[in-house]
Amino acid sequence: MNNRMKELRARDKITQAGLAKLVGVRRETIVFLEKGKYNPSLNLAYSIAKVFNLPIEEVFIFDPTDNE
Amino acid sequence: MKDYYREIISGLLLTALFSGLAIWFFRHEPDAILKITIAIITIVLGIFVFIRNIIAKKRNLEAGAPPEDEFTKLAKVYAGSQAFIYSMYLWFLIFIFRSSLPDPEEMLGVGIMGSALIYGICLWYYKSRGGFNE
Repeated sequence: MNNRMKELRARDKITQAGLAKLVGVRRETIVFLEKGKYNPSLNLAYSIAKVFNLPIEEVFIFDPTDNE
Repeated sequence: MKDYYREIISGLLLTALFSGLAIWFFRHEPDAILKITIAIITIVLGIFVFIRNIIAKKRNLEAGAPPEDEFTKLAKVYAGSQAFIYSMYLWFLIFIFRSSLPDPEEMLGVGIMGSALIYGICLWYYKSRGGFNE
């Protein structure tokens, strides 16, 4: 699954640590999310999308080829 | 102090484990330089891991981050499942070669320590690399 977190963070001028604090996770989790090394739970994805004031599908982009 | 109880307990357990390992080495071959060196390295490594965990926890607490979140919890689950499989191989090998081992009772200790080590390595791997639920 791809995501636009890095781009949206830059847009809103939020640091990784700042975003982590806003959604209640560790900074390392945000790092792995941005690198695409971790898929968030629905709760976390919703919280992150809420920070950016966007629907989940505009932050996290599902790629069907990932499951092939 | 209350926030650090897990680190303190794990530190005490690590110290006990490594001290036991060192005593075991000294008891069997007091003059074996290589084994003494291995024991010292493992003790130093244990102390290093303990201090590193305390510093990381302090940093997280100061930054207002939770000591555990869904990533670390899931990493533990994946590390546990992988460690279980690899431990089975270890125990299988111990079982196969039990007759050729000098002291089968000591092999139980080796198996237990080996399983703990395998879990530690798996946890370190998943926590540092992620990628387990891509």
